[in-house]
Amino acid sequence: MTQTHKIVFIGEPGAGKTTCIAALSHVPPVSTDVACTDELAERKATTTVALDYGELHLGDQGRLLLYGLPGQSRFRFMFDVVREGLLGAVVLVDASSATAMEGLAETLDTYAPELGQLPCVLALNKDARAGEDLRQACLDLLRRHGLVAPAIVVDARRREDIIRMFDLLFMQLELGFDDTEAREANAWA
Amino acid sequence: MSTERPVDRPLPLVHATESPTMAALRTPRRAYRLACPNFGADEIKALRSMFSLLQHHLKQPWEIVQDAEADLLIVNLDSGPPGSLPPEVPVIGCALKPRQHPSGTLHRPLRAGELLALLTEQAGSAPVAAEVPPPSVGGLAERRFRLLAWPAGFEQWPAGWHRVLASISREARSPADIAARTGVPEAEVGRCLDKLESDGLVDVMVFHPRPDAKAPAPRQGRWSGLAARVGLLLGFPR
Repeated sequence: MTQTHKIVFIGEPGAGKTTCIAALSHVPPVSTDVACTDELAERKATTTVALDYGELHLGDQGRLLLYGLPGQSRFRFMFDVVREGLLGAVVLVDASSATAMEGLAETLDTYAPELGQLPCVLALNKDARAGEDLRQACLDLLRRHGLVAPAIVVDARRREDIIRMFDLLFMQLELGFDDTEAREANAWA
Repeated sequence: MSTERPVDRPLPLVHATESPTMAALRTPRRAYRLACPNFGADEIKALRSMFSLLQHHLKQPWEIVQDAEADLLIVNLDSGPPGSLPPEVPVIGCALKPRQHPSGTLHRPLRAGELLALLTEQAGSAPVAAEVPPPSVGGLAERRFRLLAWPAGFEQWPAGWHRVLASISREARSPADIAARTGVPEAEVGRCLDKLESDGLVDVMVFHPRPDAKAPAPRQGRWSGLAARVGLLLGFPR
């Protein structure tokens, strides 16, 4: 049976989830974008109303399924769809938005318990000049939610930036999240 | 003959041979005595408060003394040489940056966990103090580090340090364990941990390894194969 693993991209509307998945997927990404009919139409023509989907084929290592989930709390139930086999999460922030921190706060309020169990990367998208203040504010917010994750500035349209996210994600998975053997090997008084 | 012992920084952890006081402790049980000769009044006050909380967790009673002969000395390494110290009494250093001092140096301000470990160990080892391994082999306790937050500017740090950060993002690990997991030399791991500790980005916990605990060996984690495959596919090295 083919192994399947999952990575999830979570963020507010317009944060760049669809762009990330389209940049990586080996199959035409499945998107549930519809035309915006609310104030979001001022920022983008369409938005995702359910989840995005793409795949990376890993040869004998199976497939890596890529999901994009909206960060708003009303979509919280969708996480259960992707929970099984989930390896890590990328939290995307629209750094160009005046409400970037509010969007991140809602995402973390919604998903902090799940994110705390996963390797996680926080990616500040859409503003290459995103300042240290914004990055530090994001790190502080992560810390207040008990989450430990690197925060990096990316352009989700650039493949090398997405590779940086994955490098950090898999570095944490490989070095920090596989502790079963260590627990067995070290007996502590 | 002078009983003064010159103390230069860095002060080594001293496991003295059994003192007359320790020998006296063997049979009639009385409280062990801790002295902190160059601590400020506020630090002594905080220590007394901590002591009252720790007493319930200690097998032997301890008390803080100022003038009486002590069974154990804790010296503040940040306040310069402590002057004359009684001979043949075990001395433990404490400092704001303990990693810049010999193994076994405690964190200052003193932390309850570290203090509990020290007092338990010291009381338990007093009758056989001469058999305790010397400081070069290891301190009284092993310090483990857990990341509280990634540094904002971590991308400017050496690549090997990123691996150190990743390795302690979920579990508290000792420098030796981190080195074994990441392949980063332990001295380099130490430098990274020093930086994290000075920036307040790590939580430090003290553990007592069992005598039969094995040293961590280089290992490949469960996800190494998958990480290598994804890295090969996308173009990041593993």
